[in-house]
Amino acid sequence: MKDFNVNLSNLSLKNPIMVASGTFGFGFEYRDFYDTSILGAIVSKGISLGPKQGNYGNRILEIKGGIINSIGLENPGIDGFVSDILPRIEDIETTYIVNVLGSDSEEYINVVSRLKDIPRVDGIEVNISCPNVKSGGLSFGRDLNQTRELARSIREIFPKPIIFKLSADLPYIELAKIMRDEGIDAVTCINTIQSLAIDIDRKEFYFKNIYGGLSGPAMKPVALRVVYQVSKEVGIPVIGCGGIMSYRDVIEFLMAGATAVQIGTANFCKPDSAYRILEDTLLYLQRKRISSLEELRI
Amino acid sequence: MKQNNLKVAHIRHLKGDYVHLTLTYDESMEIPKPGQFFMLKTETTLIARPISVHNFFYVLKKGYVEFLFKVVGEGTYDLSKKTKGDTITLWGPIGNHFPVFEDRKTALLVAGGRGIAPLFYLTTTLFEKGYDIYLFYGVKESEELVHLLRLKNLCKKLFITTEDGKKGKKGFITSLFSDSISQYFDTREQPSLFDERSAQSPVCYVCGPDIMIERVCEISLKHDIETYISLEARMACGTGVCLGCTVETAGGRIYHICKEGPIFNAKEFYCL
Repeated sequence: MKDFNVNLSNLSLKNPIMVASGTFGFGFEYRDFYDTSILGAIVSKGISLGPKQGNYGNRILEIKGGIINSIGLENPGIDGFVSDILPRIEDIETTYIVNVLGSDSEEYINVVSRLKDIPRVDGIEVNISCPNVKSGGLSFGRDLNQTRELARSIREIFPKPIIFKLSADLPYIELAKIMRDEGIDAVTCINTIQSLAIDIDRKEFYFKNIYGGLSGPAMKPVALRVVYQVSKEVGIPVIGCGGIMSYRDVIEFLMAGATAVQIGTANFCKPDSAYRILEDTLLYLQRKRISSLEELRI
Repeated sequence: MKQNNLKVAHIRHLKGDYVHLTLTYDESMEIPKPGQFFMLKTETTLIARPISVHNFFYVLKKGYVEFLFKVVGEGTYDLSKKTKGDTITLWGPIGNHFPVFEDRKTALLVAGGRGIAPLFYLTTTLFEKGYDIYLFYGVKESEELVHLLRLKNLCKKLFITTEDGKKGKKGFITSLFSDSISQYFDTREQPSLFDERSAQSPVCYVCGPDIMIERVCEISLKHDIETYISLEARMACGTGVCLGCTVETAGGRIYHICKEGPIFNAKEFYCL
């Protein structure tokens, strides 16, 4: 079957189906279920400078049409990534993007400096929009000047493709313009939406950190809105992400202006979801005799 | 671990909203061990439900996996509506398992309510290994009790408590467990709970509500009985990537049910 190569500035993917950070581990975990090399790209779980244990208390809540999570960026840190993870992903034959976390600019830059010389790392996705942590995350992305400085510093030190992950809870149009102007290759729209859940029996917030991030089909219309606005108004390649459960959702995001998409929560729902969605999307494109994804855009 | 679509061979609706589901197993999948679980996908909920293996057996060389669950929400309700011949998407077996020691011969099993689900498979496994099994089985309402006849045959002694008092002893299983253990260890009076052979380093296995597990472990660990507990948590994936299914030890350490669990050594978990 014909592959649909897509280009996001300097990031070239063999097809537009990526898997979203935090929903696919580091890529090797899903090997039992299918050959993950068929994916357009794998985006790793977010990596911070030191290891993070993540949040105490409840971490997952299913609601109608979605999941709220409060994981708290649990990860092995950059040293753990290099020593324990890297050897296990060497033979994944697709684009590998590392999601980068930081609680301040210095941490982001330190992680990126460590990643820049690792050949297996084809690019990075900078997370400035996690709703589940007290420092960094959303609070970081709200400061436009600080974010511009960060984008500039990372661009200076990291020669490979850079993606910034945005949120509907941030001034995403302004941020996307900053990214375009600073030579960032693409933006991922969107991260989970900051949410709240209450346990009425205990009269308590369900999550210890109060807030969680909403993902899944319930957030898709919001994600589509952001993808449409950013791609129309800014002119930076957009990776659409938010509630994609089937090939029909993929096509919707491509029609809204996305160049590629990320499958997130669907990976939890059934381990082979991304594989099925990719297969179905390629069949759809073939059936409709679409030769370039650009044709899909409304 | 593998994802598969398995056919419903049999489904039985028991009293107390319990459902006993038998699926025809696929030979290409790993044989589940007692304590392990599967993620069962439902039609109506977004994420699958983690359900422990209740039994695994062969009939005429064909493998069957069984689940016993209580209808408590939308996911389990959806699964309860399946009928013979339907298929269910699942993946597993997931997690570690109850350790079964070749050199021991006595097991104390403590089940609270739905906790009987994984302990039943453990019971059949230990029985085949020639263990003397002492099962303490407590429920709220007597109609919740399942498989009593089979359990009676498999166990050397079966202790039942119900909170409504309609069967067995009225009260909590923790009290009966506490009394029986203390009586033996403190007084060693005869005729006791265990015969001579049984008294050699028994292993204790516990599954039920958190508070019950904790109480049982206080008692068993006080008497230096090696104890293993089965814990649960909400989870999204069952494959080790969502990192949602965490439990915290008394020492503040975080474990993931699907990777480091669901079975834990009680002494390490409670830091006792």
